[in-house]
Amino acid sequence: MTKVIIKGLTKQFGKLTAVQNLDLDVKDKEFVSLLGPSGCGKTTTLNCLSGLETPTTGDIFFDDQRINDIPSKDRGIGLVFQSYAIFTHMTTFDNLAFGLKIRGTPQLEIKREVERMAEFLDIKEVLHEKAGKLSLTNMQKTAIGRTLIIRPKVLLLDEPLSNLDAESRNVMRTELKRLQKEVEQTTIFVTHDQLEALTLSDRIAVMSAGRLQQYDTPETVYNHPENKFVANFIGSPSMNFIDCSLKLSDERAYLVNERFTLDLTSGRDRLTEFANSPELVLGIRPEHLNVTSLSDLPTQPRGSHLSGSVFMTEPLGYENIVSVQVDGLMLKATVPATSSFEVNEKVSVTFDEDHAHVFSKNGEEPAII
Amino acid sequence: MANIRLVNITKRYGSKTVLDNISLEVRDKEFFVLAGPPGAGATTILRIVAGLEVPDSGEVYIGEQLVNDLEPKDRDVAMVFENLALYPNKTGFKNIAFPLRQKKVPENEITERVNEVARLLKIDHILDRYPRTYSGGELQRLALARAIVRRPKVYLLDQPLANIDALIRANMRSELKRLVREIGQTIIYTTHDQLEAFSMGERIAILNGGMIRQVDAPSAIYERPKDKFVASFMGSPRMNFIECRCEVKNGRTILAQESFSLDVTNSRPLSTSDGGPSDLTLGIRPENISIHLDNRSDESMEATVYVVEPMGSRALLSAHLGKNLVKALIHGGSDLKPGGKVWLEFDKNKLHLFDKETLQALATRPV
Repeated sequence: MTKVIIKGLTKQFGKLTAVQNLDLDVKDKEFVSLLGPSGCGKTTTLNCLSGLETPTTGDIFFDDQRINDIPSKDRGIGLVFQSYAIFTHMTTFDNLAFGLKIRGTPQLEIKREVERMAEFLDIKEVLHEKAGKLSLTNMQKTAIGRTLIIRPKVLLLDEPLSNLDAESRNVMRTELKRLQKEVEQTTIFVTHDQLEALTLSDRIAVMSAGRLQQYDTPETVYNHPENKFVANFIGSPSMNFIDCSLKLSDERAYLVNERFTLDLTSGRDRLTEFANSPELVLGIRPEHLNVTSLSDLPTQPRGSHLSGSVFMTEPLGYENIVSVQVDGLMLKATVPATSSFEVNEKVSVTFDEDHAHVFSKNGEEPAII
Repeated sequence: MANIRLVNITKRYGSKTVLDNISLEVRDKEFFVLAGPPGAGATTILRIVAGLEVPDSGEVYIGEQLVNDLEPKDRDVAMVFENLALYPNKTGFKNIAFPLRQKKVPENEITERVNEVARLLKIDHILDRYPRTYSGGELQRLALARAIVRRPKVYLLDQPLANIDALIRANMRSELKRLVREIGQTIIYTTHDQLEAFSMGERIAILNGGMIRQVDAPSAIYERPKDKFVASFMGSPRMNFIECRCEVKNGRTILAQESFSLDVTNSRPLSTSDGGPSDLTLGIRPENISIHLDNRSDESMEATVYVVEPMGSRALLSAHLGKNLVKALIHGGSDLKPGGKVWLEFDKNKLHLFDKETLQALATRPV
């Protein structure tokens, strides 16, 4: 039973504020990702949890115990880095047994625990091989296993998949997800890869420039990003953004741009606040844009639509990405793998207002719709 | 004409054979991608075309000319490296102008050509700045500009997007692809990234262990991989492979295994009544598997949910079908719980069959 509470954490390095006034609570057995680009403060936060760094201000609690002044080794944490901290000259068995041995655990119990862990991680076949000869995924499993075996209160994972090649990373991601479900271990996972965060986490803390941008479930972060930064960072290909302005009448609300008028009357109440700062950004995910060749349309489409020309198509196998140039703007849409568009083909792009997101121009201001 | 022909090229480093008797033709003005895992030999081929490596045997032709004995500078090729190799102490303009100055091109022509290329690559507004102030994408374009300004017959791009941040890389892919089309010259491009190869190349050569496994258009490689290696290299999430037997009974062709039995008489795979192997590896891509929560047809196979990984607009389901862990790309999936039952249905027109011994794809009937 370990929950983690971070209250008002700030960490400064000279003039640089790496983490600014961060509040975060991690429930017992929860898997939380700290996600963001380099320099967002995620690793510094992890280092404050592990004791490698001391907070400038703020408190960290494991359950009810404030751990700021507790030395790293007494915090009950398990740490796994991107470089596999394993002893390559020792066997997998001895690597897994290492933490128990220093604790003076009896031999029989060590054997039982190591075998149980090896079974759990599916590395029983390589238990007596030198760890240096293992495949990359088995090395990383061994690194995780030797940390899990000492039953830490909190498991800290610092980009553990980033050194793996693409396919091993996919395999290991699935394995880590299974572990997470079975081991019920409070875990904090640092990554810059939005897909890893989406697939693995119970909740994701999205960070930028030392500040927390959103803290919620993967589904909410994806479907209801709280600001433009989060919307842009989560999802691949990224969300499309279109500058537009707000037009309010007595009853109705519209987002307009030279090319289209989007009826957002349903969100009028929230939009009225912005009557005085009418420059906004419309955001639409690539899977919510429909691209149709103009030659396939009997007449000009009605409703919200943009006309442009195909800049490039990129097949991905299971679907294609079409980039469409609309004046100076580049929109990306995902379309079925069976569709085909020619470069420079004239197309119409439509979307459903239910999938429209509206943001302030400043990336960190709250989303409007 | 700047087609490129490699004939029976072998290259060894000591006892290690990095290219094993490969032959390849790149067409004039083609965007040709060499793709494979690290160490497959793609970069070595590029360096041999550039003249930076000398093959142990075999011939290299650019156009009709045998270039084995030509110095790199006399081959009329431009190479862009993964690390870009820009001069940090020269402005953008001087970086681009450098190869022209080397050739003693008159100064007014240099200015004209540099500006023209910079406009094409949309870096004309930052030419007076130093590379350290450029973004990743701008650095990329600067390196390309320096190659383009020489107007070579052939461009060799060695993993140009490998060092770029994932978010920018996705945008750079379509930009680079479009740009390359506008340049309209012969281009050879190497990458370890199957997605880059697939989404950018006109044709792709898939390499492994110093040998060429398949040369084809991206869609042909994706839909008709010649062997199991190509099938597993191309596509992410990766193709599923399931070992099974092929039985021909009463005119029906059945693929079977402890956990399922699939009648493929009327679908794509060729029957093995022609004496083909009966031990096969069945390949099916994750996007060609649909799922149901009940056993709705003879075609669906019962599996146990292992893990569901939500990916935003889709989710990746891993499920145990007998002993095999099968991955399926699905919509939704939040109602699936580990340990729960799920029924998988394979799109029978999208099955791939491989000989279990030789790993070669078996001939399939056109759909």
